[in-house]
Amino acid sequence: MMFPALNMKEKQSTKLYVNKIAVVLLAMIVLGTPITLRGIDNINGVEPYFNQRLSDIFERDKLPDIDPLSFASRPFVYPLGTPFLLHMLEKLLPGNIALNILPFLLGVLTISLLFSILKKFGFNDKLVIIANTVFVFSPPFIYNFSVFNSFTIPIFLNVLAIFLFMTDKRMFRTISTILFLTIPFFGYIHVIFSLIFLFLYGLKKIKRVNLLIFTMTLLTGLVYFSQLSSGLFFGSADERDILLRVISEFGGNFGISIFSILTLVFGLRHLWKSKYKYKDYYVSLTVLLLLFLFNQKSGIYFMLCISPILSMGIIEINQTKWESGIIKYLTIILLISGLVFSGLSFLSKIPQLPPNKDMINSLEFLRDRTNPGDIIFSHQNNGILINSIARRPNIIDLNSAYAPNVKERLKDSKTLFYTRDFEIAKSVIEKYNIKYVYITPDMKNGLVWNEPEEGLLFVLEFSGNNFKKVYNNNEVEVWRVNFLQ
Amino acid sequence: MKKQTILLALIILFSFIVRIVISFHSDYFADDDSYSNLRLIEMMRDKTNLITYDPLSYGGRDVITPQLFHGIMAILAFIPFSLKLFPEIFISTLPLIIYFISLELTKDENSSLITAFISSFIPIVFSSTVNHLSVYSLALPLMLLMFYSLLKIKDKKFLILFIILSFIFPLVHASSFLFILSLLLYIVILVSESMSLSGIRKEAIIFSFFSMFLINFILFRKVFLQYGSSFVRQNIPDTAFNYYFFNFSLSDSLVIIGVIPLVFGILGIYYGLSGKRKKDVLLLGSPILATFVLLLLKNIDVKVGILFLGLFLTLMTPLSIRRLLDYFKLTKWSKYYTHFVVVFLIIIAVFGIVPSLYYYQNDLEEKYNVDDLEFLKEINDSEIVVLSAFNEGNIVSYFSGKKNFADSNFILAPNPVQRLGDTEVVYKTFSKSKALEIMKRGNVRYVLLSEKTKETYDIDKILYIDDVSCFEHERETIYKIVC
Repeated sequence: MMFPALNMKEKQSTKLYVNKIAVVLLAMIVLGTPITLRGIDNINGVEPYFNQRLSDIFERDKLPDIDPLSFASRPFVYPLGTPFLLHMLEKLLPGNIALNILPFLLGVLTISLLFSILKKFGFNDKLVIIANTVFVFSPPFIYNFSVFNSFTIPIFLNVLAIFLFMTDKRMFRTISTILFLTIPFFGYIHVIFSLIFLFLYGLKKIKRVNLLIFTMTLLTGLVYFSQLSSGLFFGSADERDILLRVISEFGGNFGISIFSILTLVFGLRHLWKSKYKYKDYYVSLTVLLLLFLFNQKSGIYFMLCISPILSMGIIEINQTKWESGIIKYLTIILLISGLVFSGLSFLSKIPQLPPNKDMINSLEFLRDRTNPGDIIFSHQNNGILINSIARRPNIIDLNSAYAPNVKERLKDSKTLFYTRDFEIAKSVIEKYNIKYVYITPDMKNGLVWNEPEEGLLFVLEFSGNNFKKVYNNNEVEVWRVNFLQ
Repeated sequence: MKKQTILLALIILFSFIVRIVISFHSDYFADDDSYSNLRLIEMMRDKTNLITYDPLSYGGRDVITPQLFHGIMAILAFIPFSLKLFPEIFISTLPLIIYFISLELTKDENSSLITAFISSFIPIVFSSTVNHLSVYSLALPLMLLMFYSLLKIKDKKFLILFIILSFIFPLVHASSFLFILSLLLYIVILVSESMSLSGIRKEAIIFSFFSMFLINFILFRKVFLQYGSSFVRQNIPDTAFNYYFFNFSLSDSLVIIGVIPLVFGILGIYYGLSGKRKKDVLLLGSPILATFVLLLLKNIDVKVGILFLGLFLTLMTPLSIRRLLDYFKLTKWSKYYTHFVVVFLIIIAVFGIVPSLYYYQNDLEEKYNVDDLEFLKEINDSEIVVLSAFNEGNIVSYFSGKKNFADSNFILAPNPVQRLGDTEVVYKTFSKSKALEIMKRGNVRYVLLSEKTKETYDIDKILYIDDVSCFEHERETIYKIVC
């Protein structure tokens, strides 16, 4: 032999390293695709706009008690970790760069850290590679690291904190503790994930970790529950069926793929061979599943937790002795195709997320041509954009947690959308002092209406001078309510 | 050649000849759905591509449907009468497949032959496929072939056939969902009965589940996104569902499934479940359960549900027929065995052929004046919309070449609930202004009042239509709106 033979361990280590680079590159391609398609200056999704609006609030000396724009005025109760960090970053990076590049960078770093974390948990190389690949193609990963949102930073911080916690160096542990203590400022869901890790792993490793757990819980309590007042809404203004929200194939942005669920069955079957050995894991998986059903945004943590199991599922199918080799290989190919296809299919949705150029123009029209306190009525999906781009109050938006009278507002919105009776429409408009009605093409194409003169569209068109179309561009319309001006 | 082979060939030939005679007796296909398929086939033939948009249905809408059947028919269209001939050839293979399934279940050639004979004249299958350009002509034999392959999956030939069909079937028809659901129920029943499912059959079921789901997911992605879990219901509005349900009384349903398949099928399940091949009986019985579940949840229309019930109950009949024949041999009249079989065959023929022919209707010949519809073709304006009942929209679009207001293809149709409601209002209201408002909104310029329309809405005439200042009686069944 020309070269001295590497020993087995070195060989495996090199192979894993090469595979790690391949998966990281894959993550870069996957996360880079939406940026390439939309351009570095454009932003997809409503959440970056929301976070940017909140980050602008840090320009002031004091945080407000009330948000005058969302729900036409509501208590200012938002997790402020993300907007604060965005505010700091935007001082360093120009324009939309932070909103576009940060998710990409954090996504790639998260994948790199996951490799090390899974290795430290004792999983073998093959499982680690498959788990990471599956995770890269999962819709929650693609969404959270393509569209800047309130989960992008804390997911990374959580993963980084876990990685540092698992190292043996004292300094890293200290940094990890500091990171864990910042998590409550990003939302209780992230705290739950941190606590699951600390309970399952931390308590076994370091006894004093219970002090950290206690402090985190206390901080979460201080950050959130002290701000709550009675009668607040904990549900969601997203009225779609739960199945539509938790399954990515059915349109859930944070949902997981049906193919993941099918593979999970095989993975759990593999795990169940050891019966109750992994009972801690089952408990944490159940907690994360319940959390996911309650709040679909937490799907990324559920996905993070099940990725190794999905990997086990694929390996289980591969290693089990099948009577028919053809069926076995075709099944594995179909399974992997399904997982990849659902990821790619979801990836193609990202550049289509609102707002598009026409919407931005129309919202800028509202910002420039209306009075600051004029309330705009639209579908709840457009509420955040009305606040963030038009800088005008809405009736309802998707940030429904802690918002006032959400159910009543949803009901009134429906009444207004579907009535063809001017008097009924007028009563709702007067109730909320609506000055403008904002209509987008997706509202006319199934989101609200299916017919050209259905419900409110008929009222707007045929109520004489009571309404006036003041803006119309590529089916984005703004109607002024004349009788309240 | 064996006597059984000759008899089987005669059964298939007889059923094929009856079908061909009925089919070629008319210049038209028998129902509205045939014309939906015909338009799709013609569009495919012209564009030599898959069709994703239909400019005439609902005034223009996206089309999402498996199109392999249409593609095959478009390719074969150069053969004279191919559109009449090939669907009948496809569906005529049904007795052959059922014979082999029966033989596999009972190992008895006589009862299998009788079952093949029963299957050639299941009233609901016959009346829904003869002289129809229906996807079911291909989908039903394929589905049965998949079940047969699954029964004989240990044979490598059938394994490969099963693999190929797992890819082809979902490209032909959405009833592959019923196949998936049946297999799921089969597994659930086996688990609940503490019966093991092992070996190659389990592997094949897992594989087909993945393949069919992936293909359906790719095909129906847009439908999933729009309807979520309700996609199974195919967006059929309650109005249409109620129409289908009320048109089937219990007694009608029993006759149209077929008295013989119903009685002997139920007995067959009973005997099969206590026999040696319980697992196979459960496999073939699971579609019956799946169809029942879907019917109870109002997730498939009643005619399609009864179609599958009739077919799969027939698959169960050889188990009880064999028992009956064996039992007869033990009685003191056993010397009249041949006579008994002949009488039994006559009874089957009476209960099979008579209702099959009775329930077959050629809507085009009986309920339409096709000349009236073709008259609309001469009008140059391609944007005008013709109002008709939802269950004749495809006929209107095919013969008139004009947009319809609503038809029976509800998947991704624009607001079918409102359209069906509006259509009913136009036909049944006494308020001219209300009707005109709806027609103006839908750009309706012509109204069809065929016998089918009258039957659908239970009317004799449109109450306000005599107002000559607004409505011109252009043709016998066509009114033009002039105000």
